[in-house]
Amino acid sequence: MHSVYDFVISASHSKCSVVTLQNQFDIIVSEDKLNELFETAYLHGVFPLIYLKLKLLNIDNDILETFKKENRYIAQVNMRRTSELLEVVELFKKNNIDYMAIKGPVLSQLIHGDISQRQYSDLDILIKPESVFNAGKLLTEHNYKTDEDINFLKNKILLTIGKDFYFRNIQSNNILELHWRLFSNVDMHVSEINLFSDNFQSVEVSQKTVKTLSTENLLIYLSLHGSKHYWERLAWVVDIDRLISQNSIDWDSVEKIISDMKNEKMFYLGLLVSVRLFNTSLPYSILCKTQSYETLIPVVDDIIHQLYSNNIAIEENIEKAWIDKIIAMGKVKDTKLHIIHHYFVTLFQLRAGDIYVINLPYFLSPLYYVIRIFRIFFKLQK
Amino acid sequence: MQLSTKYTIPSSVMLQTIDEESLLLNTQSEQFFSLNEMGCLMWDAMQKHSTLSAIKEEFLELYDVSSDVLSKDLLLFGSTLKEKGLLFVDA
Repeated sequence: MHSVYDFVISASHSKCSVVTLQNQFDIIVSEDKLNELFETAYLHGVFPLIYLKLKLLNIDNDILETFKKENRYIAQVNMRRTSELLEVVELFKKNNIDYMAIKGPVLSQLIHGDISQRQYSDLDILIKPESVFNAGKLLTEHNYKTDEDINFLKNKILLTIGKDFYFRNIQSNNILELHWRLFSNVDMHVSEINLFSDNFQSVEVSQKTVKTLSTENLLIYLSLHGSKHYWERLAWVVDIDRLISQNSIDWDSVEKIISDMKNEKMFYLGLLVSVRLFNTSLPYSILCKTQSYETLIPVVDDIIHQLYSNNIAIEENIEKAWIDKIIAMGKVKDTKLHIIHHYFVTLFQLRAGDIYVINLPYFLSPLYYVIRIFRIFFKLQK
Repeated sequence: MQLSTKYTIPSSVMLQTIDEESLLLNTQSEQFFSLNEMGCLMWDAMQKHSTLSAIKEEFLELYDVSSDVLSKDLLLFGSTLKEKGLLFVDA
């Protein structure tokens, strides 16, 4: 798979010479690995970027046509999802529900200048915790349904430990994730960014204005999110690289927020991966700080090794992958106390899944810990 | 539909260029429509003007085309868009 990954990484890079790409592509053809290229580009969420580069190369028309068809399909899906996002945003605006659209079409527009250049499988909207029930109810009145009872959105424990709630559009079948926080207690043990401060930006999507996180908050969110998932998708690294290279970033503000959150290592891991894969240009002081975390170097090596191992495609043992990820994430915590905290909360912190077993009144909420222990027991049994 | 008929483009129509091809999505019917090069030019002009006659005037200045052919093409394009729900005309 080396030749495929070499090409996918080069082609995802905003600046890569056509000669290099042509040489790498010719190797893929000679090794008869075009199917792997197709699948890998898709799985890593960079298919539109790969297709864009393929068009520049001297390649067989039938091959290009196969990629073109898929790219067109992705663009059509993106258009449908974008129009759905804009409808929901309009619905929230009309009902005075403050919101921020995150990831998906807005991120694609922001970093690629086009909604069709990034693959997204769902829609994500962030709202204030106090609005979550009203927003959820509004969605259920407008073609959305949920697997869980909407009244769970009144459960104080869920609002404290959880972060999002899934809705499915009964017409389009698209999934919309309503977030009231960006990270659960399991992911972040200290304070979160004050997302609904003045730090937002407006993005023009299909001639409509949509609110999203400020560039600094977005960078922090994307980096922490990617690290949480051990950078298993190349598209997440592309997001970091493009966001940094195409925007003016207030790095002092980023450093302050990250320091306040006490998740510096997780954040700088994202920058390191981006520098390693795409040679992302960082201010000298940030680059020095990033490289000062020597313990992150083997983690980055492992992430890149995992990328080249094609782990997304061949992952068969989900439970083992779960344990591996917990151990890997332990390695990027800032202090020993944070590491102990990480293992403890990973196992014993209540999860949204524990709450969804039964919607208990607040005074009975300690019973959720009993449910938690049972659920861990059954998970380990598997 | 006539050249002087006032029209509006509904907000439920989305345009996206993919691979030198312009796709129109009617978000109400979930249908996609592909525009050719001429269709793209007409669509762009439709955003700027509110009647086909205004587009005709602009195109006659820009392109070497006969007035009759242009009128026929614009009316056909406008009627097709209307039929597909991509254009609303004033009653």
